[in-house]
Amino acid sequence: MLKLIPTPSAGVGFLALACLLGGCVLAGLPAATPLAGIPAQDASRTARQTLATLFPERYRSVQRALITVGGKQFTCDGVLEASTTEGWHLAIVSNLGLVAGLRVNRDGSSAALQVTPLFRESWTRQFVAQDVRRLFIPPTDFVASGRLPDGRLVCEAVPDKDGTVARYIFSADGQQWQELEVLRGARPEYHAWLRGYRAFAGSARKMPAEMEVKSKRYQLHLRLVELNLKDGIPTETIR
Amino acid sequence: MKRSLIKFCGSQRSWGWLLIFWALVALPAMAQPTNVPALSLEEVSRAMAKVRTVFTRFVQERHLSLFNEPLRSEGCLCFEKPGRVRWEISSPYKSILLSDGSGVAQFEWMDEKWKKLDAGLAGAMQSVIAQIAAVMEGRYASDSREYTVTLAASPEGPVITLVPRNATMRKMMQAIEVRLAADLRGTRGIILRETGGDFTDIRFSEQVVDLALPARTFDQKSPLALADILQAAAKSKAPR
Repeated sequence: MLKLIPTPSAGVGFLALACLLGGCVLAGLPAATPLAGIPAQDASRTARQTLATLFPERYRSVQRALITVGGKQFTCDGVLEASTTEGWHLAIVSNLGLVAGLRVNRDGSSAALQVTPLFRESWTRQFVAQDVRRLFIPPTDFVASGRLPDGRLVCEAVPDKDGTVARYIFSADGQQWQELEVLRGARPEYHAWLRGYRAFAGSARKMPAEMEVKSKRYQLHLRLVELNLKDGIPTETIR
Repeated sequence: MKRSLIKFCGSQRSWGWLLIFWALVALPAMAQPTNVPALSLEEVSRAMAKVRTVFTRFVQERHLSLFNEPLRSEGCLCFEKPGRVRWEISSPYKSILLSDGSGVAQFEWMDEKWKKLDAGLAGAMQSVIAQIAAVMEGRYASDSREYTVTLAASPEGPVITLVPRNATMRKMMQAIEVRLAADLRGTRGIILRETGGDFTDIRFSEQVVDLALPARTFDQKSPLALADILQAAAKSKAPR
């Protein structure tokens, strides 16, 4: 009879994942970007409008995620559904079933909808909910704080209770969100780059089809492979 | 705690994969055209030992209770003795997981080219695939202590249901249903039923057994393009 016994390397691998997500190793993060220049009022207004309308109110998207932890890479699929009443639902799926289910409410609170032995609930709350909030739920309250040496516009959200500040970096005219920097004091905690903007069928708005995240504990490369606007517009697939 | 989690995850994953391959190769060969006899694991072992290679297309739909619409993907599966496996998703993204019998490799299609990953849990994946190879040789099917196996008739063909005996496993996976074609010439689908109502529906088509798979089908550095494998499958015998 065959016994399904994990190999030592499997055990080491999973322990490494657990250990790294627990905060044992720091990935290299770019230093906080220095600001220069005064933002123009017009660009600030445009940036506010850009974030407010970046994603549709109701949609369903499928993402392919590549997560790097401690130099090792893991893949999974994500399904994210946004609704005006129920907030954001995210399911993370591996080869053989659901890994985790999460809901982020409109008020910013989150709940683990489904917990499996494959992924700790604390990881869902701490890391996954954080990514959903930062990448897919832009703030409504922020102010322009300066410009980068290359002219791009920087806006800052209202600091969290712990002093964490999110800085949104836009193109110079404020029409495209390009990066997100999260700082605690002067220390960079999280950096995201948004690329591959494209319009989807039936909508003039352009959305980032590729997101890359570097945080202290992991790196994430997210590709939007399907998007279905939930108002009858057919699904479009990106390849 | 961590140790038990590792052990559980390894078991659950291995179990799912093993059953898929077992269903793909062994069940069609052992099933009988009439009267739906009781399963004989010895027959399964004998049937499996004869198979050298398998090619099949698949459509996989994950039905999650969180959502109305399923998560759908398509791809192809190749197997060759001893221990070579290629699971390739071609839509809505491209990804390859393969083993040449000694180690696993994973590739993702990014920026218009294949990128080889430094895959985490490679040891676990190889362990799973090594056991798949053992399944293909018929050893796994000679023991049914892991599941309760039942056979039922349906208008579309026999349905074989496997329920894990282990209570911990049943917390994740309630049952696996293997749907054979009415003419018993192939496995047409598998449903993996998870606890809580979620299920994964995998439908196979264009199965070819004992075809000559081209060189580099399982190459760990530069796997052959799927188009070339499809061409080889098309040249082989009529699909099962």
